[in-house]
Amino acid sequence: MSPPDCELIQRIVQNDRQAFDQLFYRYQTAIFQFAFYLTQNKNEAEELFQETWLRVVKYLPEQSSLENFKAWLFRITVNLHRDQLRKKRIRRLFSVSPTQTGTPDDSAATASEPLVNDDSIRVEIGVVLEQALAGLPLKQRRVFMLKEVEGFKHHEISEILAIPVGTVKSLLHRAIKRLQTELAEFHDSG
Amino acid sequence: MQCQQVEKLLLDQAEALQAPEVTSAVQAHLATCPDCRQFAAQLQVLRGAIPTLKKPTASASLIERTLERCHQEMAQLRVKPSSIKVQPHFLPLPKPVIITLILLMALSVSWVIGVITHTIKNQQIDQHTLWVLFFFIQNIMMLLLAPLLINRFRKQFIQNIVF
Repeated sequence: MSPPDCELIQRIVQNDRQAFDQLFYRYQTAIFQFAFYLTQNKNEAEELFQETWLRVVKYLPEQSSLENFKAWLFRITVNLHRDQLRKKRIRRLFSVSPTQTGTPDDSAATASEPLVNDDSIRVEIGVVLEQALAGLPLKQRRVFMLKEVEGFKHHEISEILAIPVGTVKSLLHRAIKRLQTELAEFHDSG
Repeated sequence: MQCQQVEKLLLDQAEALQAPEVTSAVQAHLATCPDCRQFAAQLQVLRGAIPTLKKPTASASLIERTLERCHQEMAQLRVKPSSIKVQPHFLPLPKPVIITLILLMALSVSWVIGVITHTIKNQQIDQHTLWVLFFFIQNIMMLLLAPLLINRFRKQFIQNIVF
């Protein structure tokens, strides 16, 4: 049975590398996926991923009373992404020629499963949903990913994004309405 | 039950255990409202589609690079443990500094009181008196702010030594 997060954190503070590696492997997939859907760009997602973990190493010893490591981890990713966006805006402001911005990346990171004939409809829904997610405004996308994909509760999302719970619910509602419209054809066809 | 309430409850369904009477009220509303039924069905399709989302994974080289950098950072932090100590917000001032500030404050206040008493006695406020009053009040405000300024520069000075 794998040890709980709080136990691993105590060991990491004592400079136990193995404990850090365990914690890293526990959350690395979720963080990378979240970073990818936030940035919509493989390179930026990789940068965000690495910076998040470096911040964890640097600031974890100061979090003596950390109750929810996962929420704290996602908060770091969100804050770093905000910084990334701010720097991009400033660069765009001062650049003479058009710079490479975070354009959606078709050749994303490695695919999780090969296509199988029987799963063709599932794959199609997944592709449509992915495209619809990319079209969502960033604030709605963040809330949707945290709630529906990562399974955070409203009050946890409120802490991660530093917004009121009411705003979380409102953003989620709007995101879902929009996504439902995109997936309407699948509902109508049964 | 209104449609807006039902939508909200359907969205919150996964989050909290709803009382049986609330669940049955929602079901009763869904039985009579085609719009809410459609919303519920679309929500089911959406939630069913989430597991089909592509799950991008970090490449092996990214994982290796990240772990390596993290281990290096951990090793560096072990060498300088004082760098992660949190500095106290307010450092106590040395006693001689406190005593000097109190003496100066007392002198300034007594002068101000003296000038005000003299003015009230003579019932005469001239420009000279006003300037003197202004000067001493300014003095008192600077003496009040002095501890904060001293602490701020002390903290910066100490941080420069630690890092």
